[in-house]
Formats: sequence, structure tokens, C-alpha cells
Amino acid sequence: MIIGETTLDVWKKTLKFVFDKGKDFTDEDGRLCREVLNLLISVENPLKNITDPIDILNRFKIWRYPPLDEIALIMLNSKLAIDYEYSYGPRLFNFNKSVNQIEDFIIPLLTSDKTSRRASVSLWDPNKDSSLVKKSVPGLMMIDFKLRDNKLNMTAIIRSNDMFFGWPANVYQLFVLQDYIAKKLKCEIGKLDTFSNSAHIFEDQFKYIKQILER
Amino acid sequence: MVKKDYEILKIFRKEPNKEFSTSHIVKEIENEEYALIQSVLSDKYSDKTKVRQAKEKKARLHRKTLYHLSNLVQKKILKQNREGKRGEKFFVLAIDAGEEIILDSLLRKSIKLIRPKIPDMEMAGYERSGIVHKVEEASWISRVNSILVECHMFKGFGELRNMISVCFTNINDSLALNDFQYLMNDKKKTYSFLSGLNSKCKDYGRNACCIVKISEIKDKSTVKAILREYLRNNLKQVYFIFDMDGKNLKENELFFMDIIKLFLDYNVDLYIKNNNIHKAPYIIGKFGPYTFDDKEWELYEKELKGKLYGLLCAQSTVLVDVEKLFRENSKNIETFNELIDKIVNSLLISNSLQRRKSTEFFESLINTFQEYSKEFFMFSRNYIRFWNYGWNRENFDQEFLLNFMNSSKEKVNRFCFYEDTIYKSCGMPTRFRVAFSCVFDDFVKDVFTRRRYKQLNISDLKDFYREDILNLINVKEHLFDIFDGGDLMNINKIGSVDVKNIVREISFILNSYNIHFFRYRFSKLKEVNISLDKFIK
Repeated sequence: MIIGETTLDVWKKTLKFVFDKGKDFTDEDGRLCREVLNLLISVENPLKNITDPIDILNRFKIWRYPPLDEIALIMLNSKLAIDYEYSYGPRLFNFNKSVNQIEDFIIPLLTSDKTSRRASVSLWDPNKDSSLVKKSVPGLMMIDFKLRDNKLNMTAIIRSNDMFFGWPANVYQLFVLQDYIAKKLKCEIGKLDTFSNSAHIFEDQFKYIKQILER
Repeated sequence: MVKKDYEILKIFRKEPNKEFSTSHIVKEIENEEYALIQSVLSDKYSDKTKVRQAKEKKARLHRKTLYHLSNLVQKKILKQNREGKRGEKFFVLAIDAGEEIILDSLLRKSIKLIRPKIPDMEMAGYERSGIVHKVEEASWISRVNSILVECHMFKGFGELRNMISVCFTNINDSLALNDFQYLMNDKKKTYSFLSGLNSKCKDYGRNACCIVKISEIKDKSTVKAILREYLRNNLKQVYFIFDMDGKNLKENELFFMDIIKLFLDYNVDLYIKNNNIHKAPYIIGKFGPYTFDDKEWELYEKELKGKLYGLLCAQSTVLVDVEKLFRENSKNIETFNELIDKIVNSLLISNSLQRRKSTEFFESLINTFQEYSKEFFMFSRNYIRFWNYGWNRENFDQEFLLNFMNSSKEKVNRFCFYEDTIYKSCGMPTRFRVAFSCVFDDFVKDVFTRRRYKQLNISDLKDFYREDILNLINVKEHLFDIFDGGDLMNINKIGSVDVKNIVREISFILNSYNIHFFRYRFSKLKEVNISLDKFIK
């Protein structure tokens, strides 16, 4: 388990941990991958400099990270932009074109029963995603909300998590959703935890990871 | 509103960011009468009375057009931007970038005028200095460049016409009709379709190409009759592309000789794609050629052919004047790469903007392709097209050309790979691809530097063995590999014309070179021969 106050703290610790302790294997796309299974990362104060890891990634000139508003839109937009193979917004706010898991379930549930242990949403749709041929399926499987001491805590289960490129955006997307729900519930923002079933980095990212860790 | 108002607005709809002079507008909306007047005025043998009458007529046309222009200004649809030399008035749309107006009462037709807002991008400095040019700036994000429609999916021209109508409102360059041979069964019906398509292309300022696989033609005499009608009626906005390989040509030699003869008789250029080297279709746009990635096309043919009515080929295009870039900066790979980095970053932003608005911009396409709308967008790429980049140019090191193009393409491919990975790992799986290609000289005449490369003239088969031509083709073959968005080799036919010899030359190209796509230019035949005659005289 990796714990830290800010996203930048935990991101750096995680990169170092996976780099040092991870096991290498070649994935289905032929890329050398270094992996740690079932890694829990806990951000104690998501409000503090949530976008720091993204800012660091943006300093590299050889790629361009998606703009923050587009990253946020993925989580909050219930309509699926045609160019994305899937998107989290529709799965949260219009699952299977019938269920609004946030507005019609999480918010009313936590409003009426503040200590509920049922406030979970699923983003995996077996009808679409449990397919032998389809490769591009959501990484974010489930999000759980716990309201304790008037603070909204959030835990996300991510089945496959690129800790270098992916996690900074994932944590920002989750924060955007946490903030959205906290405002509706008129409560404070609590911890933000991610549980990555496969926390990995790729060989072609090693040199950039070293640069970040050396800073 | 009257018909003339509608015709004026159609000019602005094509290029909503552009300013038009009164003369230009008169020429566009009164083209037949204007051409007659100009022919009298430019004819040195016209007598004085005729010239005077022509001048009076011209002035009348100007006054009439100005009346309609003033009406549109009063209605706040247009505004007068400035006065030029001799008091000529210039007009622009009276809406700001990002605004749109829809006028419904024009001859019971609706006309939509949009000036989309595009933020300043990294390449803006290069744009201002005329090195980079966004094509169709007004619709750079809100429309796509080119769509390929699969003819075998349509039972007849009725259904196809509906599809074309949807496509035309969404593209800003070219529409391709793949496997058009399936629909070439009835001379009258096919010609009527082609004629309608040509008019539609004129109205919208677009191109259309009919891609014909020679080996799959069933009724050759009907195809010949259709092509004769097409050529006789000079349907300039519609192009035919013949898809074949050396073997197909051999098996259909007599038929193809007849086709060459037809194109020769009407001085129309012949476009040929070598199916042996590149399987994916080629499309001719106003700006240059388009094609798909061959590996992706293979995937499409294996998994999606027969399910999709069409697919998107190109999203947004940027043109680069390499001559100007090197003239105003140091001539080295770094200068080139720096510019390409900025363009690629700008394209990434434009794609992101387009994505966020895609359901709004492309609603009609999404509704048309329904459950396959994702697959429709699956193979598209952005284009960077190069002008005066050094090929076949005196005192330009051809090795240097291949080096800077190649290194830049590799860098762009790496960038695209990173972007795909980043977007996928961020839970936003999308696609970002940038292809390289060339620009057609007709399009850049008023935009970029004067053409600096030489033309390739061929009088007979022996020319292909000349060392200078062999070297030239060798460089072009490498460029075809780098220009993954498609390239075109122009071959100007000169000298005496013998159809049999032309077939031999075409067969030689198809069987010997890595030339994916070429244009046999018969239109240059007259021109080059006349200048030779003049020289001899």
C-alpha cells in the first residue's frame, strides 16, 4: 500500500515501487511491461495540487497530454463522443441507456442514508465488454463511495493501470467526480484511493520515469 | 429573397472566412454571360461597337449584382469590408467566428452560414508568414476532408444519391465512390447520375471520384459508352480512377486501349492506381491525393467490408510551403522538424475540439451510419501536404530531401503512437494519425510560392531507361513510401501518340516501379507540342 498527502507524493512513490519491485513480462501487444499486482494507492488530500503529475508529464516535449477539460468531460459527459471507443460518462450517467447511477442512485442514497455501504457504481458492462475479440474495454471497473464524518471518500478499482501515462489522468477524473458528488451532497472531500489490479509501466517509459524520480 | 441572393450566399458558404470582390461575385453568379463579355473584350479583332456594347453589358451586370449585394448588406448578412482600386467593393460575411446563421426562406431552401471559431495554435506564426495554410479554414473542424462510399452496398442510384447528399454537407474536399463498376450497367442512368453528381460538386465546390476496378467490369461496351458520354460532356468535377495491376491490363488490353483512345480524344488525364503495390483506394481531392493505410485497409476488408456503407478517409489538412520555410529559415532537418512538431500539436488540438463537438458537427453522418458510426470514423487520418519540397528540382539534394522527410515522418509516427497510448491509458481510447502527402499545384497557385519542380515528359518507352528519369523515379518510389497519405506521379505525354505505345508505357510502369498512383497527362500533349512547334518555327 502506498500512502501520501498529495497525488504527486504517491505518484512518485508508486513509480519507484513498480520500477524497483515489479516483474517483467511481454504483453499482448508485444511491449515489455513491468507489473505489480493489486496495488492500493491512497491520496489523503486530493484537493491539494491534484494536477501536479499531469503538469510534469506536460513538460516533456515528445508527447502532448490531453487537455484537462477533455479529461474531465470523459467522466461527466453522459453522451458518448463518436471518436471514443468507450467513455466513462455514459456508463456513470446513462448505463446501458437506462440507468443514471450517479443522479438516480448514489446521490439520493447518500442523502437519505449517510452511512450506507451500498454506494457503488459499476462501469463494466458484460454485454459489451466480456468479449473475446474486443480489446479496448474500460480499465476503471467500479467506484465505491463512503460518507464518513461528513467527508466523501472514494475508492476506484482499476483492472489495468498504466501508472506513468494513465494514473495521473485517472486520479484527476475520479477527483472531478468526487467533487461533483460532494457538492451535491454538501459535504467535504475525503480520501481518494485507487486499487490497481495490474499496476504497470512500460520499458519505453523507463528513461522518463528515471528523469522524474531524479528531480 | 431571390435566386441571385441565394447564389451569392453560396459563394460565401464555400469559404465563409474569405473576402470577395464584386468582380469575383459577378463572375461566379453570371458566369455564362460574363464569359461571353470577356471573350469579346479579349478578342483583338472585335470591332469597336461590339467592345462598347460588351463594356456596357459588363457595367450592367456589376450594377445588378451590387443591387443584390446591398440588399444582403441591409439585411446584415454581408458587410462591405473595404474598397479596392478604382472603387471596387469587397464583401465579407457579417457574422463573427463561432457564429452561424440559417436562412430558411431562400427559394424554399435553407442555407447555413457558419464561421467556426478556431483558437490560435502553435503553428499560427507560420500561418501568418505564409508558410503554413489551413485548408478550408472555415470548416477546418466542423467538416471532414474526404469520405469513401462503397458502391456495392447500394442497390441503385436512388439510395446512393441520398448518401451523397449527407456526405456533401459534411465534407470540404472530396467524395469517392469505390467499386463504381458495380453501377455502370445502364448508360442512360449512369450518365444521368454522373451529370447530377457533377452539378452537385460545382454547387458545393467539391470533387468526386469514381474508382473503377478494371478486372471487375462486366459489360465493357456499356462502360465505354458511359465514359464517352462523361468525356463528351466535360464533367470536370468528377474524376475516374482506374484500379488495376499489370496482369489486369494484359487481360483487358484491347478494352483499355479503347479507354485510352477516348481520354486522348478529349484531352482528359488518365488516373491509374497500381493495385499490386497499394490495395487501398486512392482519392483525388482539390488539395491532393488521399488514401488509407494499406494495413488498416486489409483489416477493413477482412472484418468490415460488406457491413459499412462508407468510411471516413481524412479529417483535417494543413499545407506547407517547404520552399518558403527553407528560404526564411535555415535549410536543415531541425527547421523542418520544428515546424512539423508545431503542426502535429495543432492537429492534435483540432482533433480534440472536433471530438468534443462531433455529435453536433456530424449528426447526420452518425444517424446515417447508425450502429457502424464508430467504424466509419475508425480509419481516418489528418494530412500534412507539402509544396515545393524539392523533388525533381535543380540544385536540390535529393538525398537531403529523403532524409528530412523520412526522419520527420518517423518522429510523427512516434508522436502518434504516444498519443494513442496516452489517450488509451487515460480511459479515453481514441485515434490520432497524421499522414504525409503532396499538394496539387492548381490549389496552391494563389497561396504559395511558384512551382519549382520540373515536369516529367515522356515521349516513348525508351525515355524510361534514361538515367535522369531513372534517378527521378527512384526518388519518387522512396517518396511513395514516406508519403503514406498518398502521392501522385505526373507523366506528361509528349510527341507522337500511339495508343499501343501508351499501353506499353503504362504496363511498364505497373510492372516495374513502386509507383502507387500516377496521372497520364494528355491535357499537356497539345500544350507541349505547340511550344515545341513554336520553338522549331
